[in-house]
Amino acid sequence: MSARAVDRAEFDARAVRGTSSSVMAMVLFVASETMFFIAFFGIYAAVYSQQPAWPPLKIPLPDMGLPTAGVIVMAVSVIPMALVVRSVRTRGGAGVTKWLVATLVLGVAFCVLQIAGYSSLGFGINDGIYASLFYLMNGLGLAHVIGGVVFLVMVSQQAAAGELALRRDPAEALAVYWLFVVALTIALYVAFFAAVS
Amino acid sequence: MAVTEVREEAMAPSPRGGRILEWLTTTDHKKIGIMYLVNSFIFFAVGGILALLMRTQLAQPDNTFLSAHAYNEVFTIHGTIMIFLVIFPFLAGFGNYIVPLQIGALDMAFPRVNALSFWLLPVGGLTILSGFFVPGGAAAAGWTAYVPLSTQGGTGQDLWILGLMVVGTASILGAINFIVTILRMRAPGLTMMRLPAFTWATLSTSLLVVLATPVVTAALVMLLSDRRFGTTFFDPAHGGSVGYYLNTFWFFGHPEVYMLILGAWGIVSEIIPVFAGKPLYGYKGLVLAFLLVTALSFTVWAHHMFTTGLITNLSFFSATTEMISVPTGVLFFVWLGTLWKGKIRFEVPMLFALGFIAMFLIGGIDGVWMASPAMDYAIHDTFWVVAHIHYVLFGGTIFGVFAGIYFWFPKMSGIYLGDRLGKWHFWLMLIGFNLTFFPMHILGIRGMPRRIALYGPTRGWTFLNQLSTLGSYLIAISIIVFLVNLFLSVRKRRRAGDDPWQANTLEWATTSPPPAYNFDRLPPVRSNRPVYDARMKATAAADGATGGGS
Repeated sequence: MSARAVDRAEFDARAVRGTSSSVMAMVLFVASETMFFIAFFGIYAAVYSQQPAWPPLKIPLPDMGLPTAGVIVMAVSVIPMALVVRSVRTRGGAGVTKWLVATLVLGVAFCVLQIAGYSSLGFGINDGIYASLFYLMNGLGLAHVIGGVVFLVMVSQQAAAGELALRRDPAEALAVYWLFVVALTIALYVAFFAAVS
Repeated sequence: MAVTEVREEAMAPSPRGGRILEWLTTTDHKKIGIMYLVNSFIFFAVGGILALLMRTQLAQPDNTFLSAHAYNEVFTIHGTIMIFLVIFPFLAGFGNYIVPLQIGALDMAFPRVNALSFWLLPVGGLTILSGFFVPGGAAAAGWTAYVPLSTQGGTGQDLWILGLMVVGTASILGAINFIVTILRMRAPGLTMMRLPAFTWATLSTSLLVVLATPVVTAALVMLLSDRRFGTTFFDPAHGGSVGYYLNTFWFFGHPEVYMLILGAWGIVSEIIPVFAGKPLYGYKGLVLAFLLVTALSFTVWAHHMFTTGLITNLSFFSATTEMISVPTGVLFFVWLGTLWKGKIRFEVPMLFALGFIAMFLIGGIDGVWMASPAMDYAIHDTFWVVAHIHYVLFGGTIFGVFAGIYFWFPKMSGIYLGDRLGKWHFWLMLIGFNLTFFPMHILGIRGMPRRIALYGPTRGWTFLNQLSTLGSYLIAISIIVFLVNLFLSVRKRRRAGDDPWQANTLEWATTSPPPAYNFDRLPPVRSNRPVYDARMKATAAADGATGGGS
C-alpha cells in the first residue's frame, strides 16, 4: 500500500466520524427556525397577558374537533418517523420506505384537517391582534409542515432508489426537521386551542 | 502526518462554456469568496455615492440639491446597503475564501448551498435598489424601518422588505455552512483552541446570524403582513403595539452590530501578530472575549429604546451594555500586548490594522457613553449617533476590511498590491474619515438631529457640516486611489511568494493563488501557528546543514 493511499484512507476516516454534516446543519437550521417562531410566541405572550379572555370577547370560540384531530395525527406521526431512523441506523434501510410512506400519509392528513378547520372559522385575518396572530402563526406552521411533506417525498424517492441503504443522513436530517414541526404543531395547538379561557 | 489529497478530474470536472460560465456556476469557495468581495465592493460604491449625495445636500443650509423625500430615500438605502450588502458580505467573502484554507479543508461543507448563499445577495440587493424605479420611490423609513412610518410607504417599502428577507435567508444559509465547516472539517491536530483568530470570529458571527437573523425575518414578515394582508401586529388601535416591532427588530439589531464587527476583529487579530513579529498575546483571552461578546450581545437590545418610554428597566440594559465593553476591552489588551516590544513592520495591512484600533477605540468609547440612559436622553437621534456608528462600522470594520484586502490579496492573486499608493490610500482615508465623522460628535452635542435634509443658517451648524462634506469627498478620492492601485498592481504583477508576510496560519502553507483543491500537503499542526512552526523547523534544518548558520 502506497503512502498516499494511507493518507487518503485517513482523510476519509476523518470525514465520516461523528455526526454527519447534514444532520448538524439541520440541527442549526431548526435552531434558526425556532428563533423565528420565538419572535411570534413572544408577541403572543405579551398579547395573551393583556387580554381578559382568550380568545378576546368579540372573537367566536374556535371549533375544537378538527384541530384536536390534527394535533393527534401529528403526534402519532413521530412513531413511524422513529421507525424510519431505527431502520436506517440498525437494519441497513430495510423496511424504510414503508415507514416513510406512513409518516407521509399522516403529514398529508394533518394538512387536510388544518385546511378544513380554517373553513369553519368565524373571523378573518383583519379582525384585530388575535386574528393576526392566529392566521400568521398557524399559517406559517402549516407552511412548515408542507415543507416537511415535500422533504418526506424527496427522502422517499431516495429510499426507493436504494440510497438509504448506503447513507443514513438524509433520513436522520429529515427526522430532526420532522420532530421540529411536530413540536411546533403541538405548541400552536396549546397556544390557540388548549389555552382557551 | 501530512494529508495528501489530489482531487481527480472526475470529482471536479471543468465546465464547458468558458470562463464566464465557470465563474457563474462555480462552487469553489475561493471563487465564491472573490465574488462576495467584488459584489460587496460594487454595492460599497453605490452606498458611497448615496452618502456623497447626502453630504452634498448638507454642505449648505437650506440647500435645494435634494428634495426632503429624496433625502429620506437616500439615507434609508445608504444605511441598508452598507449594513446588509457591504459590510456583512465583505466579512462573509473573507470567511469564504480564508476559513477553509485556515482550517486545512478542501472546500466548505456544502459548496452548492454556498453558491446559493452568494447568489441570493445580488438578488436581494437589486430588489431593494429597484425601489428607486417604482412610483413613490424607494423605501424612505430609515434602515430601521420603524412603524408607523414603514407601514405607510409605497411599493418601494415592500421591495425593501422582500429584499431584506432574501438577504437574511442568504446569511442564515451561509452561517450554517460556516459552523458545520469549522466544526467538522478541520485538519488533524487543529483543535478548537488552535483555531486562528479569524476563524473563531467567523464562528462567533455565524452563531449570531443563526440565532438573531430569523427574529428580524419574523419582524419583516409581520410588517409585510400589516401592510398588505390587514393584520394589526404594530397597530395600537387594534390591539397591536409599536413596541412589538421595536423589540423584535432590536433583538436582532444589536447582535447585528457584532455580526458586522467580529469579522474585522478577527482580521486585525491575524495581521497584528504577523507584522509585530510576535505570537498573539492572550489567545485564550481573545477566544473567551469573542464568545462572551456573542452571548452578551443578546442581552443589550433595549438600549436602542431608552427614550421610547417602553423600557421599564433602564438600569438593567444599561448595565449589560456596560458589561459588554469588558470583553471588548480585553481585545484591546490583546492587540496592544501583541504590539508591545514587537518588531513592527509598517506595511500597508498593518497601517490599516493600526488605524482600525484607534478608530474603533473612539467608536467603542462613544458607545460606553451612550449606554448611560442620562447621556442617551441628551444625544439620542442626534448626529452623535451617526458619528458613533460610523466610527465602529467604517473606522472599525471598513478599515479592517481594507487591512484584510491588502493582507490577503497576494494570497488570492499571487501578486502584491502597490505599497506607495497603498499608503496614500490609507492616509487619505484616515484623514477623510476623521474629517467627515469627528465633527458629527460636536454637531450632535449642539443638537443637530440626524435624518434631516435641511437646517437653518443661524443654527451654527454650517461650518462643521462643510468640514464633514469635505471629508467625505476625501474618502471618495482615497477609494479612487485604491482602484488605481488595484489596476496598476495587476498590470505590473509584482510577484508575491506563497508566504510573503512571514505569516502564521495554514492559508500561507499553500501556493498563491491556491490550487482548486487547496493543499498538496499540510504541515503538521501542533500549535495555533503551524506555518511559523514549519518555517522555524526549515530554518533549523538549513542551519544544521550549514553547520549552525554562523
